[in-house]
Amino acid sequence: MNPTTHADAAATFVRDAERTAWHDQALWFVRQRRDLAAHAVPEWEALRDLASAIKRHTVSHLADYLEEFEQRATRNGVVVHWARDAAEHNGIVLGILRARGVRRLVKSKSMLTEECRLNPFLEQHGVEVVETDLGERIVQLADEEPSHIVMPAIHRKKEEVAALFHRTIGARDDPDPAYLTEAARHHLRGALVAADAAITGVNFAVAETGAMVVCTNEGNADLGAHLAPLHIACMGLDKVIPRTEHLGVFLRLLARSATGQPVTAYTSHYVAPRPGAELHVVIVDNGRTEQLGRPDFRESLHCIRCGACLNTCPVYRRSGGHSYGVTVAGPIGAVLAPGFDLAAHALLPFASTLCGSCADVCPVKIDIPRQLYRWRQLAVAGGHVSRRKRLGMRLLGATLAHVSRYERAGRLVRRLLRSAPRLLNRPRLNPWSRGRELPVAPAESFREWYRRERGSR
Amino acid sequence: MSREAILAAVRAHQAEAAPLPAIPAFGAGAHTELVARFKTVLEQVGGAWVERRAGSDLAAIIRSHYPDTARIVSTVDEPPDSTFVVTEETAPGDLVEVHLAIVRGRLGVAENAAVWVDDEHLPHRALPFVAEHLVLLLAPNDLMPDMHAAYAALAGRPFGYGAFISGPSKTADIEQSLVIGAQGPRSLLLVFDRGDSSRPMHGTLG
Repeated sequence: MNPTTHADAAATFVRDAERTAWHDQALWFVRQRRDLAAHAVPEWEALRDLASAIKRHTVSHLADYLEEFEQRATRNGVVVHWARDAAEHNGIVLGILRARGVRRLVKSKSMLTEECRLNPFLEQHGVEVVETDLGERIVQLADEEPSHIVMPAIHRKKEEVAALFHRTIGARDDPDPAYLTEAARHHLRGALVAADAAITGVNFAVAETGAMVVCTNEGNADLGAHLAPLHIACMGLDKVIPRTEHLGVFLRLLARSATGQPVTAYTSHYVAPRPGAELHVVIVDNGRTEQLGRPDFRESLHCIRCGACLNTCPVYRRSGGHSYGVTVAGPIGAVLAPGFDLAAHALLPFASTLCGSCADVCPVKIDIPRQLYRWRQLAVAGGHVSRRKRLGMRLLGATLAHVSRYERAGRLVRRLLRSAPRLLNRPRLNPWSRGRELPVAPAESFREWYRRERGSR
Repeated sequence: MSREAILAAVRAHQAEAAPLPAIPAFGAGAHTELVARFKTVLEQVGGAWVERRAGSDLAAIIRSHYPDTARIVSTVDEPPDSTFVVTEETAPGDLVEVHLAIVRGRLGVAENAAVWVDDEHLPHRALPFVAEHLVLLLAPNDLMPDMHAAYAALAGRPFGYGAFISGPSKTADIEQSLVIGAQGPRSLLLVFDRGDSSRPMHGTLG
């Protein structure tokens, strides 16, 4: 299998310069809203420290908390299922649906079910699946994957949504977002009323009470779960937190980090099934325990999926989520994906400038750049990068490690830039010159100037 | 069995025990400040509010804000009376006919204008979501400064379902344009009812 070539996919994305700039701006706008919201909370940094420490504790006692959650949820009347991988998860969900003769299913946003490719699996088995989050419905109708974990259709312009809705749900071809949202409301209410079952994700699962907390703005998770006779919640095993009081910490951080809202419009706590209905939860591993076993990358399990690292990332903003070729794009995705399959995603950790902005905004203070750097080392050591990149890096490493070699190389490059600038500006030879010209070389380096002006030392 | 396999793998892989930090008390602020902050944030999240003077008529407030409302489901013990009956058994197709729901909130959170509602006050869990418009009643005494205080106040309260509701339903999924009224209520009116005590109309306090 070829490694995901983020750079190639991104090259296609940036071909439309205007669109790239628009995408960049849209996400930067969200990042700025996040800043405003964060700065309005005096104890923001204390909350981040707390969240980080709570996660570190939780992950170090994860098995106990999972068992406690299972016990409490079961006592509340929730049916708890466990799935080692995506296939088992999908099989469990299909089994529950089949036993109740479910034909029509509504879903609210769940990155886990995207990761497990649940929708195509259910559709193959004759279940009609309707995503009810507006952004998710847009990408589902367009037969695409979400390009962002919080804003699935951020890559689509309103004119494209209008054309899509016109073609698929019989709306008029009108790009007004208010009109399009209204058209979707009518379309989705029909599906919600007719549904035999609802699937939601889980933002937080509280071990102490067995409560499952789901955060939405549209109200679609609640409409689905409360109208259908069957609700299945699907969660990664990293979603459990110890106690109710910890919700206070995470909920104060989540929406502010994600969209700059003080909290989502709805923060729903599902504890017990409503009378006459069923509530199930599927707890999924799918590679998470493996990641737990890697001390260098364990911290990535702290992620609460706010998307702040995507919004701030200069590479994500200018290359789009689809360029990553994985369910969770952006900086955190580039840390998670190699854990699933290093050979397939070896190049994703290179889709970063290591500028560190992601770590600065992360509400649970995951050191993403350090993990990206570590994956790069493992990718090279495992032989997952091209010979040219490997040799280039070795040459660079050898050069930068010795003062005399560095000085000699500098002189050589300055001379080449003056005498044969086209040589170094050839993208095939020097990929860095793709899309940019190398600067005009100065006559001498600072060190040379210093020696000349101030004597030899 | 997968359960055992997963738990065994977690136990084999989890790190050395790290301590659980205590959550400190963050600054609360004066009560009058809480009300003001709540109102400001509620407006920011697309909600509206009205203060009810002692002894004044809730029905009049509803009439002035929602003049053309036909199908009202009220869960509070005063006029306006429900014109539409919702029970646990009401079918989805009928539930979505609800035009206006009036529900008492158990507590409000000043920092984010969230109001706690749970199934003790709800004839059907879907009610605050299916209604085209939602009116929440809240006593100012039930305002908490932040989410920490809110969860502390809810501790021990038994519920099968509960939610913090902050403003009407909304989406910005199309080009980051904020649209109020996505799948749930198109508007939210918060009635501060000073005339009433903080007691809920149904059920008991936990």
